[in-house]
Amino acid sequence: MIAVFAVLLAAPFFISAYYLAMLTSVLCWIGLAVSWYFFSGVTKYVSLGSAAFFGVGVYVTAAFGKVLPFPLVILLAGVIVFLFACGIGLVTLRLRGIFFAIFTYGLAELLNNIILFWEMKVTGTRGRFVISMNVYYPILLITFAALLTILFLMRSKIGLALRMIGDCEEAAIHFGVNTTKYKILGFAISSLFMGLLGAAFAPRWGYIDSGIAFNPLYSFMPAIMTLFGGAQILIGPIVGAVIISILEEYLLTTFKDYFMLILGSIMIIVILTLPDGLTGKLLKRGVKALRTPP
Amino acid sequence: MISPSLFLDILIGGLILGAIYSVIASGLNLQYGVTRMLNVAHGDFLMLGAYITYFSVTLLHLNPFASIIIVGPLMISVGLLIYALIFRRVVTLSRTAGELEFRSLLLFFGLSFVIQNLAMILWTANYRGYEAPSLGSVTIAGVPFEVSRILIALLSILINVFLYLFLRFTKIGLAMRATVDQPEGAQLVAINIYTIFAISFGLGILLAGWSGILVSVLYSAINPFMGVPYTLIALVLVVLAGVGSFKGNIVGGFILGYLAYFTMRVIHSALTLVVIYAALVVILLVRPRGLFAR
Repeated sequence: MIAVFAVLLAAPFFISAYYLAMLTSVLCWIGLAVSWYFFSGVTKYVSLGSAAFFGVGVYVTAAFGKVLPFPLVILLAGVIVFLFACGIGLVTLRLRGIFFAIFTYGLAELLNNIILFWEMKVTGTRGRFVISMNVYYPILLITFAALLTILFLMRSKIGLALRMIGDCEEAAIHFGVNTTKYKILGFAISSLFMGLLGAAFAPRWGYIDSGIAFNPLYSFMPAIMTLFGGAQILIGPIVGAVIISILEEYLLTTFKDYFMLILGSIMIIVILTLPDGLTGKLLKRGVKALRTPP
Repeated sequence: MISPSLFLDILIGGLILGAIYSVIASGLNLQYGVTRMLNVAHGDFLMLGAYITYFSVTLLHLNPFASIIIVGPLMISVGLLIYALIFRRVVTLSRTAGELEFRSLLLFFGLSFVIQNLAMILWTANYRGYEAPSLGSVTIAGVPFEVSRILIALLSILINVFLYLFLRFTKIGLAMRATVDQPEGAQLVAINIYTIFAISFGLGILLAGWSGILVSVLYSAINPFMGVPYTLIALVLVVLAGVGSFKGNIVGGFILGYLAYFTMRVIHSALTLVVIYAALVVILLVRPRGLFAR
């Protein structure tokens, strides 16, 4: 992992601007997918609200980017998103399964509508400019921080509690796990990284409006990537994010109009043919290979 | 501040909207209640219904209300076909109810992308509308109301009455209600719940298509992406009503209809979704399983 980090740290000196931009988005998607996996993949509380937290991060940069130094802006975004996610978690995590998914699905749409209305009625503007800069290093750092934190947390008490909730919430309650506390904490940590990534990614656009910041694609993609890669182990979302984001780049540049159509079809085919994801399939095969002597 | 004529406008406008909302959500509620598969592409099937209405009015010169006989068989075939091709496999593949819910939700998201973008490729993203033969308007206490809008409300109520009679007095309806309450129990008394799943699935999509007729007569702005807000409204209404509650669906439809129409007329139409969503938050806080949960 350190070797990969070192290679990525040196990457800007070797590759062209186009590939650097692509690498930045791949890294950002890895960060988002891993954050999604940490809460939704593990507990099976499907959140479709990643875009809301990502978007809040984007807007923090848009609002404070010119006033505060950049690292401070990202820090501020982290604090705001963390508190926001705690609040949302407090309200919604009593909901089971599908209700939680619906609620989070509407969250990004709601924020989008509120900001649109605010801009229309109060400021009379549409969208705003953001400080413009290369965001490769901030994204790299945040994604690796997310990976390390989640790797560490998965082995700690929080990770165990979340995994138990995913397997059987009733059993977890009977074992004296404070499920509400861990669910909120897990949700807030997962959202925190999404917000940080949003704040760090914003300068790449230069100009944003609520439609860009709260694009529902940011809600679906982490979920699709994790499922495609497999939600059993942490490698799953990483593999999924790399493959799907490169595919996205390719499809967007060659068949722009058919992008969403193909993405939707892939989603359907993946769920029908690889219900446990790519790594899930390999994992199963590996276990089988170990069990049956040659 | 609210003049008598505005009051009357809200009274009847909210009634019309409420009646339509209850039809839009009844399909979703039935489908989810019986099969536990949440159709987040519901609004997209509504959009298909609206397009079929558009083509039967412009190409076949039918009255939009008469297109109910074309939309009906077409949509139910589409529903059954999609069930047979995609969802039957997931039903048999999933080991637990939670797994089925999770996978089918993602399948529906994929399906939603596919339907929207196929529609865009086939029929372009331009808004379309047809000129419904004007039926004139009636004046009630100085406020004019178009006859076609009142017909829509009547038709909505009629559809709901038929649905009620179907669920209450036919054998299939009885089997459906049994499956909502006790899937295992239903199987014990020799109900083939997979057949019931298929029928409910088709019926849900049929109702989505019919609500497409109603919506297209009311607003006459047909577009591949018109369904998204209706999906959100239907989802909110199912939560509000409580899954599998017919009564809740009707009462909740009118609550939401009045709320939405009041917001449109008195506050601002851009805030409609925000207000509906806020209502959802309040209801979930007070009654996490819906107002009329059984």
